[in-house]
Amino acid sequence: MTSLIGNVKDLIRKWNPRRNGVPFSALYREFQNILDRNSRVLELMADLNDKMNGEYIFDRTYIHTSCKQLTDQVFNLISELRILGRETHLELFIAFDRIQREIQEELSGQQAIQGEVLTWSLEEMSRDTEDEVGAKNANLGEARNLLGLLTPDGFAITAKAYREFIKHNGLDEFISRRLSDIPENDDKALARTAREIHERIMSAKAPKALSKALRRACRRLARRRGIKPQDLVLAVRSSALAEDYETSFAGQYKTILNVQPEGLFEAYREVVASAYHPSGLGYRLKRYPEQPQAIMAVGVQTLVEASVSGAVVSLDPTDPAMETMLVSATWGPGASLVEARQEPDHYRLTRWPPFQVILSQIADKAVRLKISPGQAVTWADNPPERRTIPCLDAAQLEQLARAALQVERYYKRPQEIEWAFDQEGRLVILQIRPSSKPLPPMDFEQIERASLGAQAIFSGKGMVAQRGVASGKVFLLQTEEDMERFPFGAILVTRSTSPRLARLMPRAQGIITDVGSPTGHMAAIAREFRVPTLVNTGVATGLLKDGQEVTLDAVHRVVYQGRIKELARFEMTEEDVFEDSQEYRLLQRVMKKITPLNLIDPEARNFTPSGCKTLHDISRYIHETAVGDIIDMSRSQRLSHGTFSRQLKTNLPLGLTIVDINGGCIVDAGPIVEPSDLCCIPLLDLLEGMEKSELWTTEPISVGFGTLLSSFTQTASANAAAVRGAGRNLAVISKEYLNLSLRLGYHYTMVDTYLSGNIKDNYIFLRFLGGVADMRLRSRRARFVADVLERFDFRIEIHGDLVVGRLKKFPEDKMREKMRLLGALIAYARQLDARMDSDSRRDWYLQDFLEKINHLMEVQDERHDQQHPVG
Amino acid sequence: MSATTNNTPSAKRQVLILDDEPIVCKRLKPAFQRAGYEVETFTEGQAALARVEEKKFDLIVTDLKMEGLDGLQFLGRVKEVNPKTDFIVITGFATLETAKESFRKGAYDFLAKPFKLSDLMDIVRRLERERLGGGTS
Repeated sequence: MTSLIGNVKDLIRKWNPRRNGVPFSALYREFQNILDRNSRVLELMADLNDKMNGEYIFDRTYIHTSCKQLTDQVFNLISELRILGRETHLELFIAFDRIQREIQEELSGQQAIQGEVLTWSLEEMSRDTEDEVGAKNANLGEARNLLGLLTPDGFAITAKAYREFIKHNGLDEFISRRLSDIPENDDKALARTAREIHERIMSAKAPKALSKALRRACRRLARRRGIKPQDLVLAVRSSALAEDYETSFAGQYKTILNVQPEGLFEAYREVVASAYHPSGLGYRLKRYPEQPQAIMAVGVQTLVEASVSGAVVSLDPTDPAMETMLVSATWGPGASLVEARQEPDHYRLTRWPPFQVILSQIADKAVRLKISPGQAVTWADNPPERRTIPCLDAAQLEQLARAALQVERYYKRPQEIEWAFDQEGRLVILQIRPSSKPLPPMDFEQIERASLGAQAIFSGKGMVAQRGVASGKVFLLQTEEDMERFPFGAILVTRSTSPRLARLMPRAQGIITDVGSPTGHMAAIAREFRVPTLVNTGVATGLLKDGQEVTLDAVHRVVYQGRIKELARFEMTEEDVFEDSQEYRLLQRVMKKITPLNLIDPEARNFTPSGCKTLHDISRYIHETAVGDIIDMSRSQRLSHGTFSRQLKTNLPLGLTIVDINGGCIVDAGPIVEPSDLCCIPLLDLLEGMEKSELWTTEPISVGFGTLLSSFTQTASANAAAVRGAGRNLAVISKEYLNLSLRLGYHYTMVDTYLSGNIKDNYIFLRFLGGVADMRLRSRRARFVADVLERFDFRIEIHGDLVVGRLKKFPEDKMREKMRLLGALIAYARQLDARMDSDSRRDWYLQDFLEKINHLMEVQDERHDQQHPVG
Repeated sequence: MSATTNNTPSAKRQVLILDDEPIVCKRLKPAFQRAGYEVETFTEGQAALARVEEKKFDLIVTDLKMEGLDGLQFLGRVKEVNPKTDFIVITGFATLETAKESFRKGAYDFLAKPFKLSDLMDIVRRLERERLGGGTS
């Protein structure tokens, strides 16, 4: 990769673009190339993003080829920028090189840094770290970090630590040799070997690095809890790398309670050794003959002072109707240990709110585990009055049921969860694993009967943002205040997508919207939480009633009347969960290096090549830089051969420089032009939208407290800024083409469009960005702009306060209508952010704007009908 | 609205899926099951070919470019064994040429990877309508 940088340096030395006499039109062609390529880069990113919703079948080859295409395009984009004579692009190559290497590392499956660490703290754990921390740790990490459930604080001892430990003690070769010596079907030899290996592990020594890492991890954990390390009381649990070991041998791998830091290594060793129980070993020899060694990561948690503990199975496969979940509970901690000695309380609950208790079997619970720090775990008698009363009340059962369903919905499998209520009455999740009792496979006829018998409220509408099936009661969200009332397990139905709905995701079973984009920000969040989501249905809020029970099939795009449990269950019986597939997770990881946008505001300090963290950042940086350069060059004397850079005189303070590359102005136009001198159709329509909508000067202040004074000062400052930034406003035009870079105050708008009688060539690409107000208000304005554009057929992406819109292949008259709309929108939105202090305001402004331009568009339509009687 | 026709025949329709990327098989399998099919999946061409020799399939969904066996050869061979078997070709290396060649060899339809699951199932439904009668074509 150093050679790449070297080559680039050579190229730069040889290349000197700022030669005198290069005609502007030639440079402009290069500029156009950059724009074209930039659009292609954005298209490729959007394509990749589309694959995340589960609707597409893609494979590893696709991810590799797409990443290759994308990195090639970005590389060429950087190379093309040099035509404009940028000196900073070596830094861009360096940023590119770094990002590309990170993507390559993901693609080749080597995450260099991850694999070197001996312990991991819980807050860093997710499914992506499973290869290091094991399945159970990874699950617990996601429950805490993503689903927001309470778990004990702690850390993982990694797979790397296991390998070091085994190697340090010379056990690697010993274990493989002994395992390969076991004759087939010789259970006695197997048991003997298992015992032998178990003993060797139990007497193994800790590598120095591991002891050090354990001490450090304990110190950090103690610091977080505000206690001394020696006062830590820990639980040590297995977290094997292959999940099926855990499910098939639930309970065989050891969990050790009441461990203190000085005894941590001994406990670790014991958990590792517990993998060499004869039946577990026998299973592994059969299932994984080439790798029967159990790579064991371990979870270390602070011990919860449990008042009651137990387990919940989110779906009982023995219930023929498949409608219930099971809870078992016992006084005090260590339910799994206690249950081996005495019967716990059993409860059976329905699987949907309000989680009705169908059955409760209250046992006589004579004893409980007693854990005192520094002493062996002992049994204690429960007080007589507590022996036969239920361990859990209705509220606690409901809390458990919710958590279980939340986890189940996320993993799309029935789950077994170990839990405790601590002394403060908080629910703590101790361990999560997929249910060891698999669901019986679904009969196709069953599903068929269920879905044929069901009444579809609507079907074939909308776009899938996250695939999946969900049942629940409709909650029609109309105002922001409604969010507070959103009940657990409901289906969220609302008019438009919005990132603010993220707050409801942990509680929502499914989401349906009237408008919105599957590539938008909310869609991305829905995918994080795996909430089945169907957007842009057009009809949801009209057809669905508040409180109505429905089933959302966001696979086949159908919404059914009533709860069709077979559909949801079918999803849980699918052999593989798409979201857990290697391919999906790989795509998810590489996308983190590709799409997030960190370079937002061109005035910000990080708007530099070295600030680029993703390919999107690089493309945005290049675009912004290229526009600035072309403006400068159009002004400079030596580049004006054969081209006139002209000033446009309009009634609005646009400060617009016009560069005509081909027939955009009348032949004898002078250095100052008026709109009547222009022949550029898209620009004329845009200007018309700006002026004739009368929105530039119309103050949309009839709600709230927008006083005359404040709007006056805002206007004044915006205009002052417009004067300051006047030099940046540029329209490169031909008769059919417009590339407009507009900075009004602190708002940046870029429109690139081609508009002709040839429908296939027509497109609009635009970016809206920025504003004086704080980021929250600015993003609200961005959402307003996006709302408007979506209504007018644009495909939208929102990144913070940046809105990217695309539209292709509309007939000429429709395209002209869109240009007028854009003109009006630019005029209306340029200082709106300062006023949009709530989301309901945003809706008000949307209505206001639509009303105002409605009138404008109608008038225009008539005019057009006269001009173009035939389409 | 649902992924099948209303007049489900008593015997399930048989589909074989061949793609050397396991993820494709894994994801297509439940979709076809949901559409009422008995599904067998293969990631190796030779094994699939051996299976085709012993069992009749109504439909085969196959990739074109795989290690060890060319999808078009596979298509040709199966058409010899059972001319009535329908083919849908899915490929990540879609060109006009491969598409034309697939149709010439008798493929029912052709899809470029990545594709939308619903697009594939639309093709399958159209095929069913034609084969089970009552359809227009």
